[in-house]
Amino acid sequence: MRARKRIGLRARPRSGRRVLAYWLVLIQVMSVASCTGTVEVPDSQEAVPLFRQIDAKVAKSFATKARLTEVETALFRAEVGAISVGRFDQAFDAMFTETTVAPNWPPWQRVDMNHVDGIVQLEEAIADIELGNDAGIPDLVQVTYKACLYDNRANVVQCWDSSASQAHKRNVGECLTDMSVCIGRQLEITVRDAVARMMVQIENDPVVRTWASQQATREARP
Amino acid sequence: MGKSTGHERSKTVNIERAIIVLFLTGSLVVPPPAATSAEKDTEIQAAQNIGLLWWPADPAQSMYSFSKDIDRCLTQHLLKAVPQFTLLRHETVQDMLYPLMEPGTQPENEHDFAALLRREDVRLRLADKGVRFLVAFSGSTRSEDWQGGIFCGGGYGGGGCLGFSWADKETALDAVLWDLADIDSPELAQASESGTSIMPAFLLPIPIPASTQAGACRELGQRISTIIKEKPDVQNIN
Repeated sequence: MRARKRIGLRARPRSGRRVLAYWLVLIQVMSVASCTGTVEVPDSQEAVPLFRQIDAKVAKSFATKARLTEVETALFRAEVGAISVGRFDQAFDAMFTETTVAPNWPPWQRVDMNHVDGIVQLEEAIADIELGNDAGIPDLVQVTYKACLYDNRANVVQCWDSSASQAHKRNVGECLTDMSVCIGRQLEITVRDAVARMMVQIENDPVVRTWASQQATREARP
Repeated sequence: MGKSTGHERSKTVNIERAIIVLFLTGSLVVPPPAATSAEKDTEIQAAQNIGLLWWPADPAQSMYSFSKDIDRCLTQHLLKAVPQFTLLRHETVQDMLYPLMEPGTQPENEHDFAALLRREDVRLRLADKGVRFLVAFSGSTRSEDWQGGIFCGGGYGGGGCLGFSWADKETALDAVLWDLADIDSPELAQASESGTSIMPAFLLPIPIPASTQAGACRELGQRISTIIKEKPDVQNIN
């Protein structure tokens, strides 16, 4: 009787603990499941980017493969193309004195584009995310862009490449609550750095300035 | 037979305990302290603002955690020391000057920095936001290897550690203060603090890190505020 009672006394808290443990595992699994989703990164900035404007009227275009770039991991999906298009849209507006939007269909190459001096196009947006872990292996984010400026007859005036990368070693528990937020911040830093590199490169490119002045001269001619 | 069942039960209990502990440690991640209302970048249009900028930014430093700590600490200190100014934190100033202050595009030296500040669009942007001073800060914390020794052992009766270890640590910070009313003469301020992290071990090793970062930051904040206060026109601002 005593033995049975002892077993009964032991069994009650143990089963309670077991139930609690199972519930906690379930909650933890659910919270991990809730982490999976899309990485949210702002696709624009409050301030207009600083840029010594190029005196030209251009149409902005974003190639399909750049627009649709996505990176998928086991935990989340990052719509790098959409984020990049937002950033470059703002950047192109700051770079040229006048901008319009190039048609998606039919492609601008097949349309008369005489109403603009040129077309600036984001050709490629390539992104790579390598997840690290909490044991010291850093998360790696790398972004590469290619953009080209064409004249209104679809001849290439100049192309530029830029890339940026960020390695982040997690602090203990830093990315535990939401992995996508953690990577999102890293992705934001990398994207803004790569776009900035591209902007500075274009700003200092004499070929574009020469092309713009030629456009101005042509327009001034009777 | 009965013994093995007991072992299995105790194993199960241990696993359950471990799950509970893991859950609690995983869930009790302390969030970073929220910025106080005074720290928030309000009233950017005010006539006299001080902008903080981490420069030269080290792109290899993961997520800029060190700079964020210094940024927060300098903001708190300068808010107290020169309350007539509004503080604009690093991220605000970096956004304001985009794309010129990203890790890949920032000026390489003071000469280039001055050239950047002379750019008309930069001057207009900073003037528009009421920036009078720009504090470009940088620095790092260097830790030496652990000295001394801790011995750990264990047996059937239990286990534990015994010993004492220590490591020297130094935080060195420097800042260049740009007065936008006089770009040609930036002023330098430096501060450093060293300390020793200790780790006594009696059964368990307990690391006690030296807090050098806060001291160095406080000292740098004092030096910057002194330079600002010494400006003749600043003394008239209430």
